[in-house]
Amino acid sequence: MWLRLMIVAFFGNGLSPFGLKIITEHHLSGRYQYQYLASWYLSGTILLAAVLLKQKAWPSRWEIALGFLMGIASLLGQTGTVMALSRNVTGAVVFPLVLGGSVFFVTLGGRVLFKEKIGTYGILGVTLGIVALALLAIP
Amino acid sequence: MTSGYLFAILGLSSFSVLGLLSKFSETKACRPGPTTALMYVWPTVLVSAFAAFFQDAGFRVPLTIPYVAVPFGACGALASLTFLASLRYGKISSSWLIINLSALLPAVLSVVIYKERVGARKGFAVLLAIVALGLVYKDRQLEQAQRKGSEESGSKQASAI
Repeated sequence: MWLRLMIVAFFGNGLSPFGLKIITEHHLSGRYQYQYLASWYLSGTILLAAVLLKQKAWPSRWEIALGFLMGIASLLGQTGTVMALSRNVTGAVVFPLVLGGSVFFVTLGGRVLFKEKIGTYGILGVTLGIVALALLAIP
Repeated sequence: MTSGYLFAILGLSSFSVLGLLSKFSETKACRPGPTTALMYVWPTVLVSAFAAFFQDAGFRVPLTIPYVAVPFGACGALASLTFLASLRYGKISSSWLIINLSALLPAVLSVVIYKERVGARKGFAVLLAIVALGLVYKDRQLEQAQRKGSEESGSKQASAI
């Protein structure tokens, strides 16, 4: 089950930012970037609201609190990255720091906070993954 | 330290917190549907307000914008939903790495669709990412085999008693 869900998550998450590339190729990203992002988030919200209505699932207190915090964290993450780039910190520094760093800290947090055990292959995979992310993300 | 670096650290810490909160939500038995829906509501409200009040064009945009944004936004929502659901069955460290490594997909699509040229460094990065995904999968298989082995020996001991 984990693998099937992760395959969907991998392709969904990988495809989702490609729309920005398309509007950039249409020379629309400079003027309509925020409108694009608003439509992007709105589309996701409508899809997820439809899922909620179908499941007739009313959010619990924890879901409301954590959903709010995760939304803010996501937005702050994007904003921090864009603002760092706009303040002349090079992509070569920003992307490895943000992407590679978050994989490192989440792995560390998983080990310390959630007592997750990682085998030798897992450690090697995460290390190579951080290097790959750094190399992929540097413009 | 310049403000640019402080913003980069803000990005790093926010994404790290997002990853850890995802796992925390699973430990609190939060359902992926409601949690992801609420996670999307706040950025929708804030970015829409920013676009409406601080952008000259407001929401008078070419149709290309919603035509592109709607399917890709739906992809993002589906990814968030399945990612949160996957945490019930797997480790945050492997799942978070895989989600981040999905960055190689738009890179590959840019090469295929827009004929972007790929240097040796990016090609090497794609190769490394594939090896990393294989290693994480191998780790997962070994963990499952160990768990299965310990469950079987446990049930044998119980039946012997």
